[in-house]
Amino acid sequence: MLRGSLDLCVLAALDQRPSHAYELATRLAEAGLGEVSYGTVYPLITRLRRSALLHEQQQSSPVGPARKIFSLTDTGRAALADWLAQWQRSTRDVEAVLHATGAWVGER
Amino acid sequence: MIIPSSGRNRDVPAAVQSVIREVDRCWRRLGVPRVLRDPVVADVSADLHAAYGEERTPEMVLGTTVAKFAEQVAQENGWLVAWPMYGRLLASAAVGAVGAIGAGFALVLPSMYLVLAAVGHVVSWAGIDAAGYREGHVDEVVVYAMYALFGVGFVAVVLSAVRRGLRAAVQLRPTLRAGLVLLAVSAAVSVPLAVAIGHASHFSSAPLVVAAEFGLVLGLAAGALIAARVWALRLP
Repeated sequence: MLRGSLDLCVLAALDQRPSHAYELATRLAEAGLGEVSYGTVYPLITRLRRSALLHEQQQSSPVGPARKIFSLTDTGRAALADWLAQWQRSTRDVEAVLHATGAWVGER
Repeated sequence: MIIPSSGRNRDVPAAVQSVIREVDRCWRRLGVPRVLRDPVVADVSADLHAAYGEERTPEMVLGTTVAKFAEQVAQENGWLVAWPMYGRLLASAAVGAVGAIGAGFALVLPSMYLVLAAVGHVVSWAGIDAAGYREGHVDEVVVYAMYALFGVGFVAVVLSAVRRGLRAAVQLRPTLRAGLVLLAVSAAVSVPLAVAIGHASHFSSAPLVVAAEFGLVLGLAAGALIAARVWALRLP
């Protein structure tokens, strides 16, 4: 997976719905990132939280220990919008090159 | 280490507890203070616990080795820094010191008597007056040589214990190098002072006197190790 694209996926998933780390890893896997494990997602969440893009909140559970629920901060939402625009721009540019060079699968 | 919500430990599966203990051990070896470790340990434990409820083992969930996971989380938390680890340093050194002193009493003292007895036999066999000057001189040399040997062994054992106790610590090698020098300096200062106390008390074996002698030597040694760590942490 391209470096940084997982950050974008995590922010997008948490923007859709705040989650705890394990639930987030499961959601990302179900959404198509099958190879992404909790062991990858948890350090990433830690980094995003330290960068003030995520906010954490303890949520008690009637059946188990309290969990940390992660959600986007205002800075996180701004970063998501910015990264999404960058992603769309760069994929559009790459697709344009691939079409122009005839390398795009659909052109062969 | 907190395994979440005290009182629930019995509910945490052994497989999860084992992984959580290993994660916490990795961070403890790095010198990460408990106040920082505990909330993250509790959070990871809660996640692994939830996953276990869905019949997913911690190994499946982590998707990597426990050590690698612990290192990545430590890195992202900004924990891979030079923690002072003074408590762990002194605790490791104390373990080494106790071992060295125990070994000293068990090995060095009996060896010294054996060597002195052997020297006495040689002196008698050579026909030298056993009460003469030469024998006394040889005895002194043997005793001081054995004490010096014990001192070298003591420092080696203490530094080995520190090396083991702080094996994941940042700036360990400079700490050990400085420790070697400063321990020798501390011994050069403390041992003659302890001997002076012994002379002044007519080599009394009163607990207070013995405690003062040991306290002086071990206290200065502890100070030397702390100074070595402080110096090592200030290096760029």
